Amino acid sequence: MEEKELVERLKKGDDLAYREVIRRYGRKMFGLIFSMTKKRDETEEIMQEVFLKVIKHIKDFREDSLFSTWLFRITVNTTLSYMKKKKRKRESLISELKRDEEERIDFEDKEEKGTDETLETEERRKIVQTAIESLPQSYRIAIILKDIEGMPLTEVAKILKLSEGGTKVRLHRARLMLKKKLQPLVEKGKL
Amino acid sequence: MRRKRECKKVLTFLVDYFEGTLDEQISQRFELHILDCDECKKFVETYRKCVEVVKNFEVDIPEELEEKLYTFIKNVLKK
Repeated sequence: MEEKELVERLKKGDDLAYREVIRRYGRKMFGLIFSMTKKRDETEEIMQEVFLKVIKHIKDFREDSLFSTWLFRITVNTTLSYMKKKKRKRESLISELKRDEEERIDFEDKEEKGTDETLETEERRKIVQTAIESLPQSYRIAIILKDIEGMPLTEVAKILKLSEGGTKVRLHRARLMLKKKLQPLVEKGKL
Repeated sequence: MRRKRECKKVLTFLVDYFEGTLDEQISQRFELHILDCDECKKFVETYRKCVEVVKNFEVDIPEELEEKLYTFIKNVLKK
């Protein structure tokens, strides 16, 4: 189904069009929200809130951007305001700092073990996930949208409401932070 | 000193280089510098590998959540 047709059907309240949106973008939305909340129940709650907004505002969508850009902008904004409401920003920062410390030790452990074997898939996944989650929120969003979800830079910039230049800077800094964390394992060919 | 300046420039071009949006002339200069500078070569290689590792990272949506969401949406649309 072409995007234009999808949007028309969404505007008509066709539930199968919504099913298509879940099929196309659900995984990306889940990944993005979960990376910010780190809680599955909250992620579910936010996804429902996002769809409520889509249902309410789809008639106002003027198609001057891609539907996915519009959807992810709602996703990011809804998640941020949800977290603000829950006053979790502060808590999350504290736990991030704690986790950073634990993670540092964890990385050092991995280093010290120094086995020649490559890490198991699940273990690799966990290491990358922890590294991504340790990024400041705005950097994390940029990395998820651009590098993991493969969105064009122009779309990422629109979602983040940043200039393209600003988005590049954010992306570059985020990558440097990840590089710092993953480098020891990458250099040893373990990732 | 001049080399250091060139190294610094390499850093600012990385995102565009990997996007493939770097001006051809600058891109060639970038590649020439990388060939000539071991430090930058190593840096760019690790940077590229880290980006690849992250790109391969995928999150799956729990299957039952898709159904749950769809049921939720249908109920909202019915109202």
